[in-house]
Amino acid sequence: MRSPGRIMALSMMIAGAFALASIERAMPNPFPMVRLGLGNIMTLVAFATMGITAGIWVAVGRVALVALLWGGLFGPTAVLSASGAAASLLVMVPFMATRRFSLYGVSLGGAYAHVLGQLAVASLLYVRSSMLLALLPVMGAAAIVTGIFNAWIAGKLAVRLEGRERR
Amino acid sequence: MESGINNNSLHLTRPRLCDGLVLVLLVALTVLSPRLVPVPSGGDSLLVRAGESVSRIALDDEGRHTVKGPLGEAAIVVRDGQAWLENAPCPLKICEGMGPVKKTGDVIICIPNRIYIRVGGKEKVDAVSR
Repeated sequence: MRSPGRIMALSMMIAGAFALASIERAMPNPFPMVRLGLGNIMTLVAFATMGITAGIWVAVGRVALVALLWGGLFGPTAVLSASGAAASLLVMVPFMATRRFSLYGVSLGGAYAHVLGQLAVASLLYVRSSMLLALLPVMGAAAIVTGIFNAWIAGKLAVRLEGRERR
Repeated sequence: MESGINNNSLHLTRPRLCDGLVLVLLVALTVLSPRLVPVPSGGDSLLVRAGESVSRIALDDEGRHTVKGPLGEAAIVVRDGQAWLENAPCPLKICEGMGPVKKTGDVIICIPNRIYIRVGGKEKVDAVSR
């Protein structure tokens, strides 16, 4: 289970997730409410190629690194980022465990849960009003699109990775 | 060296029936969600909460209105029946990109600076912040 190769592959995926999340952060974003969730691609790749535990490691590792390096370990941005990640794991892990979903269902469920988790925590912790529900149509629609897109990319990556291994 | 990558993900890359069910459910939730929120009355003015203080700005009161949060001052600009935030002191400026707002129920939120703006709504209902 804990072979050096596995640890190395896992580290590379965490690094990849961190890189993708950082690129996304640095990109100019005309719709700041909408996140692509590129970092989640590596979580999906880890789920597909290395199993559920590896996926959890990649998601947790990414969020921790982003919070450490990009500021405010306990600021609202990090809190919301962590609550989004936690909510999406709470959906993605059971989805993976049932074995009834492909990466598409897992990614969609995770992306949408990310939005719902963030809105819920922001509403309860900061805004203390239900006014944030007004954001669900835009953020939810975006989550559906990015969820499908990320699953597609992650699927391609996973197949490539395994193709390399077979040679 | 054994790499820990197992060759079994191919079946995970093709959509399955359950994925479709999730998609339908989420699309329905997204489309129906506006109906779950009670539409606030008073759509001709902004309800502005900055920290603990609540104020109102009419949407025909054109100009720049200063609001103060814990990080500093930001400007609510009202023009042509629309409103948006400028000069926000927060790091990511997500709030500036959330405007302009004009429809009843539209919101601008600046979480780092604790500034919450909505078109319409009663103070009584929303001032549950204590």
